[in-house]
Amino acid sequence: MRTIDPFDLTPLSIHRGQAAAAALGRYVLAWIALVGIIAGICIFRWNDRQRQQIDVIELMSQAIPIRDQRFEALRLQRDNDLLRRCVDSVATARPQDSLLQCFAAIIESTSVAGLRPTELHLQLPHEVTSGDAASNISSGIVKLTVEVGGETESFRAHESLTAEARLGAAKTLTISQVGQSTRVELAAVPRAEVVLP
Amino acid sequence: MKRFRDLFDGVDERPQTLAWLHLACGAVCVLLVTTTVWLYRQPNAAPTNELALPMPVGEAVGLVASAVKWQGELTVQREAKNNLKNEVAEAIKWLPRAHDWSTSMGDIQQLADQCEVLIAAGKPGDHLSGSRIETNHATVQLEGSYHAVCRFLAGLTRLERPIWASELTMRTNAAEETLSVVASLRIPAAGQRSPAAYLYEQRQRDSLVVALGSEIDE
Repeated sequence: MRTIDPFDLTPLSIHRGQAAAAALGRYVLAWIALVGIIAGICIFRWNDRQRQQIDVIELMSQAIPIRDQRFEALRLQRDNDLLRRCVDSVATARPQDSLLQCFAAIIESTSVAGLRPTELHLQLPHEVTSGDAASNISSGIVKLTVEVGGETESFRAHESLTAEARLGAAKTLTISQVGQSTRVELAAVPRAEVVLP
Repeated sequence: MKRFRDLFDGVDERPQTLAWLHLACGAVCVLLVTTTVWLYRQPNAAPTNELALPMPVGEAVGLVASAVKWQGELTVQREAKNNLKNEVAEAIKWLPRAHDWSTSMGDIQQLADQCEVLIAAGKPGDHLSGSRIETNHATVQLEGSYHAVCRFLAGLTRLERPIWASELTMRTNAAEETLSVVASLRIPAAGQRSPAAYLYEQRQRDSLVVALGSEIDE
């Protein structure tokens, strides 16, 4: 605060005018400083924003090829999985000689017992389809007729089937007398590969 | 400056002017300080929403971090695909694309001749598009010795286009020592809609790609 000189004859109104002008000058200085700070912050923010945008664009330019690689890798993985499943399912569909194995096993096991089937029906277990998909598996059938010397020998036929590993659930169905010989009808379930529908 | 001072010449005559001056200038100062503080406190986040980014920034950072992993995975899958090409060719080597009754019957007849089995009759049946391949049913009536029939049944699976035998009904002709057999056969083919047909399509596509590639190289 400027002290008033007692010898100063300048009118009070002029002093007041000078004080007001000085105050306004200080205000203007403060405004300029504040506006400067605001401009500084704005320029800093704008720079920072530009830098971040460049960083983000750089990041995207690196990420896009990797995203394409990921897409390609996942697509290939899906294709490969599908192909693998198809290859496996086709490989398991390759024909096998299960019927021959069962047929030979039945003939051999009965011939070891000194018997010979006169009739034989053999069906392997196979897939049953409903529409496109294989829904369940039907068990196979073995039905055979052998002729034995007498009724007391019929157990030999049954035992010969029971002893065979490729057959299960062997049972004697009927025993009938035909002329001199006895006819035995037997049934079993083959244990073999499942045939396609 | 003088002009500026002249503005305040009559201040004493209007004593409230100085107070108003302080009030107005102070208000402007407060406004500017508030603006400064507000600007300073703004978050320093990148305004990425203006850039129409192809993916979120977080995802991009994750991707860049896992670059080696995806590069490796891609190499592994490409190798797997190359290996699978051979497996596909191997898997369908035994399987004809479509069923042809006269070709199959020709194969069966030739086998029967080799095995000394007489084919009394052969009849085609239904065809089923299964979950793996297409199967074409057929029935053949055979006559021959036990060993000849066994050779025939074994030979069916060793044909260039192998055939399943699924069922047989046998009767022994006691007088002639021969067997009379009716066998149900299932003749495989790739068909139209089975996984095997898909493998055929894949092989065709691969060979097309290879052909196009060599054409471009030339």
